[in-house]
Amino acid sequence: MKKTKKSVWLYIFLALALALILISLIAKEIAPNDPNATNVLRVGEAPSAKFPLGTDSLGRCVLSRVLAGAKTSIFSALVLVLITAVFGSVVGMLCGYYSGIADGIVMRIIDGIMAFPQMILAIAVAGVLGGGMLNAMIALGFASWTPYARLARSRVISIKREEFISAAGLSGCSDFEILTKYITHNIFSSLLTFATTQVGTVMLGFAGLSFLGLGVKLPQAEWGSMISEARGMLATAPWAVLYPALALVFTVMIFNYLGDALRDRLDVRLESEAKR
Amino acid sequence: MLKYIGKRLLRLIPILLIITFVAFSLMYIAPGDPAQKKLISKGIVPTEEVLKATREEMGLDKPFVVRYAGWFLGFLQGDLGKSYANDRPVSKLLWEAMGKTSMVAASALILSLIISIPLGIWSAVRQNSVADYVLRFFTFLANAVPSFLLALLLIYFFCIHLKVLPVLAKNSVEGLILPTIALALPICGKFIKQVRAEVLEQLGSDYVVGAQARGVHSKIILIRDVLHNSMLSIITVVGFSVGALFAGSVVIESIFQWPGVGKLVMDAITSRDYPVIQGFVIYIAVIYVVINLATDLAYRVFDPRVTDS
Amino acid sequence: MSILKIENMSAGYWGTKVLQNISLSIEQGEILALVGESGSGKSTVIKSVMGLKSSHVKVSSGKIIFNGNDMLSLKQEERRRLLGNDLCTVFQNPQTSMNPIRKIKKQFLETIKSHKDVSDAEALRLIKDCFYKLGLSDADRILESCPFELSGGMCQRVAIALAMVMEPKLILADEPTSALDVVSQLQVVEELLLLKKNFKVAVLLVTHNIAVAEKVADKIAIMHAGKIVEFGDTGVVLGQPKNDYTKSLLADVPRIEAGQREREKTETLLEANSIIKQYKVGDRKVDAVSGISFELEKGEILGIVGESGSGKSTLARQLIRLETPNEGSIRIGTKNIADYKKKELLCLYTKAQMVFQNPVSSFDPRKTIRSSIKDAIKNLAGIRQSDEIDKRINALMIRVGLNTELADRYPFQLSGGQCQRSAIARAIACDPQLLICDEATSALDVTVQAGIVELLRSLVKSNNMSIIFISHDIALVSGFCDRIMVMKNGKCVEYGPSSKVIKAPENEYTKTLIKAASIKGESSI
Repeated sequence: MKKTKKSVWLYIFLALALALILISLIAKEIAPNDPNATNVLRVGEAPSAKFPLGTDSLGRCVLSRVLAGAKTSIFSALVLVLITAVFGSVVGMLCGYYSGIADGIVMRIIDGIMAFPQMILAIAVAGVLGGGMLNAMIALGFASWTPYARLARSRVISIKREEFISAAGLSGCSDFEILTKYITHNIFSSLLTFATTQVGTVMLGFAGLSFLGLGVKLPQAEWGSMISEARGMLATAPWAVLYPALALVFTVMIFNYLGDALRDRLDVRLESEAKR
Repeated sequence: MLKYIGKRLLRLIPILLIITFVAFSLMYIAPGDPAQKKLISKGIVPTEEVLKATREEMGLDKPFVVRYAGWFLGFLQGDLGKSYANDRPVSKLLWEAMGKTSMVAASALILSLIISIPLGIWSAVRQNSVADYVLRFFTFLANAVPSFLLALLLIYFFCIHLKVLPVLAKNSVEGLILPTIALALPICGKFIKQVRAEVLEQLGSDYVVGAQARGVHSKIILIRDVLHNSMLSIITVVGFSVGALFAGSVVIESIFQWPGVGKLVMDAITSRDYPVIQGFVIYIAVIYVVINLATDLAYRVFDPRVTDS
Repeated sequence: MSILKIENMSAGYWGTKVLQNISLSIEQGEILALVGESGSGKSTVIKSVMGLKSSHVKVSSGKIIFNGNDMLSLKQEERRRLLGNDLCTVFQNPQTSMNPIRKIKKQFLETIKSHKDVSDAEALRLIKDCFYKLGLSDADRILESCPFELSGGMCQRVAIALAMVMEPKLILADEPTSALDVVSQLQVVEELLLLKKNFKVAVLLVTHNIAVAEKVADKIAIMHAGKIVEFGDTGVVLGQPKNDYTKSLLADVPRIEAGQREREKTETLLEANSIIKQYKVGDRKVDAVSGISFELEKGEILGIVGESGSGKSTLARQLIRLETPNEGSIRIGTKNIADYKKKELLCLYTKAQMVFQNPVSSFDPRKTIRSSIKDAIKNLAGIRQSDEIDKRINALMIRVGLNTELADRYPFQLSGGQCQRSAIARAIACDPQLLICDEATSALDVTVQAGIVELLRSLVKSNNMSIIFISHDIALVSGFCDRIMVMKNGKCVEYGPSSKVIKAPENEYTKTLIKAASIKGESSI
C-alpha cells in the first residue's frame, strides 16, 4: 500500500515535469508576443490583455519572455545534466571496476576539483571565459561531473563484492560482460535518481550565473537574467521580477520533488556516497 | 590522532597542486593574448613595443610549466601577484575583503544553525504530522529559491514597501540584517532536510529501542543519544555548506554592494583583472579545504569508531 | 503465582496476523525457552510483551499479565517505569542495542536514574555490585569503554549486567547467543544459569538454537507458524516429542555424529600446498589464511569448520581463483591453478564451481534465474542455441528438485531454499568435478538445510563429485563429511577423518566447538 502511494506522487511529478518540458518546446507557438520586441513607449506596464504579465524595463512582454526563458533554462539544465552524468558515471564505473593506479590518479584529480566549491569555480571560469550559453555550460560542467564519478565508483566497488558478481565470473563472463550486463543495470537507478536531483541545482546555477551577467548573452531570455534586468524597476514594476522568479522556483521545485519521489520509490541512498 | 592529522595533511599536497594548477590555468583559458589583456585592463594602448615588454615582464616567453612553478613558489610565500587595476598585492586586497565576507557568512551560518537544528529535530519527532508537512514544504521552497531572488524579495518588502531598512548600508548592523537572511534561508533548507533525515534514521536504530526497553525517558534518549549521534552528519553538512555560503555571498554582495570578496571578484571580472580572480579562487578553495579538514577531525571526536584507513 | 502469564494472545503488524492464540506462563526463577525457526513469530512474542510503540506490534486479542500488571492497558509512563526496572530485555546484537559510541558508564547511569533517584556514587556502587555478582572483572575499564570497543561476547555480558542492575523479576532474552562466537556463546549460557541461581530471576529465552535451549531451559515451548505446537519440560519435549512438527524439527537438527560412511581411496583431485593469503589492514599485513595444506580425493567430502573470521571463506576463494594466494600452490589435476591464463580460466570453471552463503544475493537481483544460469551454460558449455539451453536449464531445475517454472522468477520471488537449489543448479550446469560450498546452508532454516544437504549427498553419489563443505556448524559437518579440517585464525588446528576428529579431538578449540554443539546424551561421545 505504501509503495503505490509513493508511486502516485512519482507519476504526478513526472507528469508535471514532462508538461514543463512540453511547454518549453512549444513556447514560441503559444507566446502572445515576440519575446525580444522592445517598445520604449510601453515600459514597465502593468498586466493587461495584450501583455498578460505586464512588460519589463524595455517594454517587452514578460509572459512571452518567461515562456522563451523556459526553453533556455530547462533545456540547458537537462543537456548539461545528461552530459555530466554520462561522462562522470563512465569514468567512475571504470575506476571502480578496474581500480589500480589510474583509479588513484583520477580520484586525486576529482578530490582536487571537489576542493573548490562548485559554484565558485563556475563563477570564476565563466568570468574568465566571458558570458554566453556555451561558456556557462562549460563553467558549470567543469566540476559537476565529479559527484557522478564518485557515486558510480563507490556503487561499483560495493556491488563488486556481492556474491552474484563472483558467481557471474565463475559462470565464465568476461570483465566487460560483467560490467555491462551485471553491474550497469544495478547502479543505474542510483545514478538516475542522483541526476534527477541535480537538475534543480544546475538550473539554479545557471540562473545565478545569468543573474551575475555571466550566463546567456542578451537579449536571449533566461529567467535569471530577466530577474537581474528587472531589479532596477523593483519598486515600479515588481511583476517583471515576480513572474520569472515564480517560474524558476516552481520549475526547480518540480524537479526536486521528482528527484525525491524517485529516490523514495527506488529506495536508494546517495548523499553521502556522492560527496565522500 | 596526531598521526591521522599528519596523514590528512599529506593527502592535501596533491589537492593543493591541483587547486593551484587549475587557478593558474584560468588566466590562459581566456581567449586572446594574456599580455594584451593585461594592458587593456590597465587602460594602456597595446603597441607592439609595449606588448613585447609586457610579455617579457610576465614571463610569457618561458614554458608554461616554468611559469607555473615560479608562480607556485610565490603562492607558497603568500604572493598572489598584483592587481592589474590598481597594482596592489592581490593577497592584501583579498585579506581586507575577507573580513567583510566572513562577517556575513559567519552570521548567516550561525543563524541557519539556530533555525535548522531545532526545527529539523522537531520535524523528525513529529514525523507525518501537519507541522512536519508544512515544514517540509518550506524546506523544499527554500531549496528552490536562490539567494539572489530572496535578496530582491527582502529589499522589496523591507526597503521599498515597509521602508524600515536601508538597501545599501555598508558597515552597519542594519546593513548586515538583509544579506544575512538572504544568505541563510536557502542554506536552512538543506540543513533542516539533513537534520530531519538523520534524526529519523537515528530514531529508528536499534540502540533507541534498547534504551526504550531500559525505560529511559524519551527526552533523554533524544538529547543524549540521538542528537549526539546525529552530530556526525550535521557537522559534515556544515562543512560542505561553506562552499554554498561563499558562492551565495558573491551574489548577495553584488546586490547589496557589500565590500567583501564577492564584490571584489565581480568587479575583477568586469574589468578583466585576472590575478584577482585567480587569487579569489585559490583563497576560497584553501578555506574550503581547511574547513572540511576541520569537520573531518570533529567527526572523529564525535565518532571514535573512525579508523585511520 | 506466575511472573508472566500470556493468555490466548493474537498479534501482528499492520493488519497481518503473526501470532495466533499464544498461551504461556513463566514462574519465578524459571527459564523458559521459546524455540522456532525464523518467521515462526517467536520474537513477536517478546515485542508484544514489551509493547513499545516503535516495534509496531498490535495485540488484537488475549491478555498479557506481568507481575499483576495488565500489560495491554498500561499507560505510557507506567510502562516506562516497568521496563528496565522489573522487566528487562537482552537483545541479539549487544553492540547495536546500546549506543555504540557512548561510554557504557553513561548508559548505565542513565538507566538507573530513570528508575531510581540516586547519586552517581550510589549508582556506581550498584553497577559494581552487579558486575561482581555476574563475575565480570575489570569493571572500571569496561565502564570507561564504548560498546564498539568491546568484543561481542563481552558486550553481551555487559548487556546482561545492564539488564540485571535493577534486579528485575523477568528477563526477556531475544536470541542472545546468535551473534556470538562459540566460546562467548558458552559464557553467556553460563551467565544465564548464574542468573537463575543468584538472582532468582525468571527468563524468557527466545532462540533457534536447540543446543542452547537444552542447556539452560527448564521448560521449552516449540513455535511454528505463529502457534505454540508443543510446551512442556525440556527433557520431555526433546526426549519424547508428541507433535509432528516438533518431531521433524528435532530430526532435522544436525547432531554430532561420529559415524562415517565407508568409501574406498581414490585418486587425488585437488592438492593444496601451504597456502598463505595476506590482506592489508591499515599499515599492517594480516594473514587471513596462513599455511593451509590438504588433499581432496575424487568423490570425497571435506568439511572445513571455523567461526566467522577464521579464514575459511578466504581459503575457499583461493581454491577457485576468485583471489590468488600470496604463497603456496593449488593443483587440480596436474596444473597449478595460479598458472591458468585469463582465457584458460573457463577450463577451471568447468572443473570446479562454488555455491555461496547468501542464496538471494548470489543471483543478480534484476535478472531471472534462467538468464543467470543461461550465462553459465553459454560460456562454459559453449552451447548457443537457446532451445538447447532452455532444455538443459529445465533438466537442471528438476535435478535439484525444483519446478521448471521457478526458473523464470526473480531471486527475491523465491524462498531461500529454492534460491540455494537454483544456485546449485547453476554450479552443476557443466558437471564439475569439485563443488565448493561456502556456508551454503547457514542462511537457511534447519528443515531447509536438511533438504539441501540431502541434495548434495545425492550429487556426490550420482556424479561422483567432490565437495568442500565450509560451515561454522560442526554438528552438521560431522554427519556429512568424510574428513574434517578445523580452522581458527587462519590456521588449521585439526585435520583428519571425521570419526577421529569427533571422537578423539586433540585440540582444545575443537573440543569447545563439539561441546557447544552437542545436545544431551551426545556430550559423552
